[in-house]
Amino acid sequence: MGGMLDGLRVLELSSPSTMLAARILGDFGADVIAVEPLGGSKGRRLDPFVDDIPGLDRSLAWQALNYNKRSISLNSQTADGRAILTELCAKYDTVIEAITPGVPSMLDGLNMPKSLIHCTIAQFSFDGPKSTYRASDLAIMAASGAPTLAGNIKRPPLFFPVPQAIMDTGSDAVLGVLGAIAARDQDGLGQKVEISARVAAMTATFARILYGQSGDVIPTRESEAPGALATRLTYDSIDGYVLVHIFLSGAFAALTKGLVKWLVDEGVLGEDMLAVDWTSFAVPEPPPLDAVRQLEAAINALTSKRSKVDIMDAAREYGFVAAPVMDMNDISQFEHHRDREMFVTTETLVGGKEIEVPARFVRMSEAPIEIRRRAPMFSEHTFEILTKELAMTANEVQALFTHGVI
Amino acid sequence: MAATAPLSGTVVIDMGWLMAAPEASRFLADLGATVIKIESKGRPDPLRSLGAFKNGVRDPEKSISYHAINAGKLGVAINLKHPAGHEAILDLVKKADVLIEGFTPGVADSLKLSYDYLSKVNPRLVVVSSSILGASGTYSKGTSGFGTSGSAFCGATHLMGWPDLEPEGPAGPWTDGVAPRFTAAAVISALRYRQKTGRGCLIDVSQAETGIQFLMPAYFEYAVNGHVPQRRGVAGSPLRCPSGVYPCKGEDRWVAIDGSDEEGWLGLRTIVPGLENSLYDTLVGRLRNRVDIDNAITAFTRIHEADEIESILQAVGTSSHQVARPQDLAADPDLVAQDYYRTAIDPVMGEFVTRGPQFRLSRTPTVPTVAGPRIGSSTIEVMTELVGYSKEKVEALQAEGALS
Repeated sequence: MGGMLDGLRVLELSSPSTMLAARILGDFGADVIAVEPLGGSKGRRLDPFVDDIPGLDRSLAWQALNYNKRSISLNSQTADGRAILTELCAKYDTVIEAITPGVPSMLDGLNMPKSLIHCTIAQFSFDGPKSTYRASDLAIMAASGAPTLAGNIKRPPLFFPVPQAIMDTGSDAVLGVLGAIAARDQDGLGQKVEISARVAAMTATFARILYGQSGDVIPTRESEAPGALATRLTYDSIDGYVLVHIFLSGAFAALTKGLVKWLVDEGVLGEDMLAVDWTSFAVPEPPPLDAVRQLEAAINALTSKRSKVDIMDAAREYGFVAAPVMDMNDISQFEHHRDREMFVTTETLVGGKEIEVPARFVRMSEAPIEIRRRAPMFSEHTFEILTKELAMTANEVQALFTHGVI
Repeated sequence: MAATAPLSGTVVIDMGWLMAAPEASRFLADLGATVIKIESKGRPDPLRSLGAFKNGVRDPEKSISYHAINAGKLGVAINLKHPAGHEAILDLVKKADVLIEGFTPGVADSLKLSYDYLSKVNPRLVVVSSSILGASGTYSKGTSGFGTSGSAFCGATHLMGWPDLEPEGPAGPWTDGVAPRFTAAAVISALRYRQKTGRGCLIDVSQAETGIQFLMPAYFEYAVNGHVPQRRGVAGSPLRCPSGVYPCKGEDRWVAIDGSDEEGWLGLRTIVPGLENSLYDTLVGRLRNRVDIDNAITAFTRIHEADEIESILQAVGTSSHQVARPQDLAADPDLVAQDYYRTAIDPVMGEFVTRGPQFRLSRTPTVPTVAGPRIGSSTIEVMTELVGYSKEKVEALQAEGALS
């Protein structure tokens, strides 16, 4: 039942920024241990919570980002804690740690094997002017530039209601770790990997951030594509909203023709519109707006009477680009995901209720992603790990507990 | 002993367009892989026609986005529909480790370049098929889309915007930024797996399915609590106070502030007037008086510059950052210190500013960032040195339109 990374061993010094990276490695089959402080990882304190009641085993963000892992608790400020950490690092391939510039790493002063890969995650830079900044999801996302690039100018800028900095960070960290593993496969040597949360958060928008140094007109919330004619994207459907793209540039003009054909066939647009050359509106001069506005009005007149699914079907049939605005309920019902076996069954931490979650983020013809274990309860595997992997006796583990090491 | 780059020697064929597939291979290039970008004069990557453009001159030779995504790749021109072009691709496949394509599902089949064909030519090949909904499933065939479509399918569009208005969605083609990380991670994992098994595989990527990953806590909220998450509009968390974005001096200027923890709150109080009330000493007291606290902060931020507020508050231990615009990020000293911005040179465009890698590995810390390739600029080099064609054969195929 091994995955693609079966045999790889990952030690995660658990914090919100490390969770997704370690989980993705676990999804691919790596053996992952989350090392938590005695008060529990900060990741356990992220909302939402089961039934809105918080608790160390009740965070749904924790459960979403920590399946495929085991958990050990450790007080790394003690001699025994440091000894355990050292022993674990000797047996594990990579350690993932969120660091605060100026504060020593948990591995500082410990004897680490040369083969160890140490992935370090900072929020801003490691030693630049903002390296000592206090971070938060708000601050990192504000610093990413994304909120100034879109959104209703009459309202404040938009931020996701799900923390995104940790997601971007985690997905970049995976690449750094896998790169270092590939390097080590060549010559047996480990190394340090450095990831910046803020740089990770810029991935979605760097293409427009670079306008800032290009000499080109800079996009603003008011004018996302300066010089181009802005077209309506969001339309009503009987059961919510759909996005329908109107393309006004040569490469995608065929898609607009398909859209027009649909509207004409459905009787909401006159046949004369079939002859319009939509690419003629791509130039940044005052364009003849009438045809485009007519098109937008016709789209809404039709879509507002159709369901999201009908519109999707029409898009495939006529060859235009439309997408239903789905919510989590829509996603769980979308048969397409079931065909692709995207959902995997796991259980909740509290109550052991069976749930299906969209775990297979890629579909592979070999060694598919599986959920081998649900997210761990706090310190759930401490005894198992210390006795089985570090050959301690039950007496010793109990002693560590009574002394507040675990 | 100097270290070689992690993926040095790995050959990747990138047949993708725009961002989702090409960004994945950019990551691989930054890890040292040899990435060969396939285009043809008749079918150039449409990304070349998208801005930013150097100095605002719209010219397919001058797209900075194109260069930022395709940095470090070699350009080979192949007409996939020409019989000799198709043969050339297969000869290239025999020498490659990875092939990434982003065609609308169905197209690879019609070009005889789907995994079924390619794996017979090279059973060790790792093939990525990247599309909005993936290469299989009810809605796969014929569904075209972009990162905005991906955002709609994955739940992101629904979650971004105001409760009383239609959804706005995240800025830009959001899943174009999410999917490539998962794609590249799967590729590197598959290459490692191949070391053990000797076999390649098909990695079928749906942009929509990768997008859901960044929203998993919201999915679990639905699956466990039975509550469908909705748009909130207002920034910040209902569990933190103060936390949000506040208007600053100037047109559409904002600063993000999270002063909810003790240290941040005490710092904020030393700077912003009107927060002295002892009711606000406790978190619960602050949560119950959120409106008054936000009003006091807004009165302060409205008369100050966003970057000034950021510095002043960070200096007293409060998490804060201006809501940065492209021009602010151009001057951000921390990004400069990180060597994020790189200057590259292109024969037609001259010097331009692009971006460096997303990660830094200590044994190979210097990864130069160069311009993306011109169409076919390395056709002769790649087809002779890697594939073993003679120079004469390549030139003949170029003249014939197969390799152009």
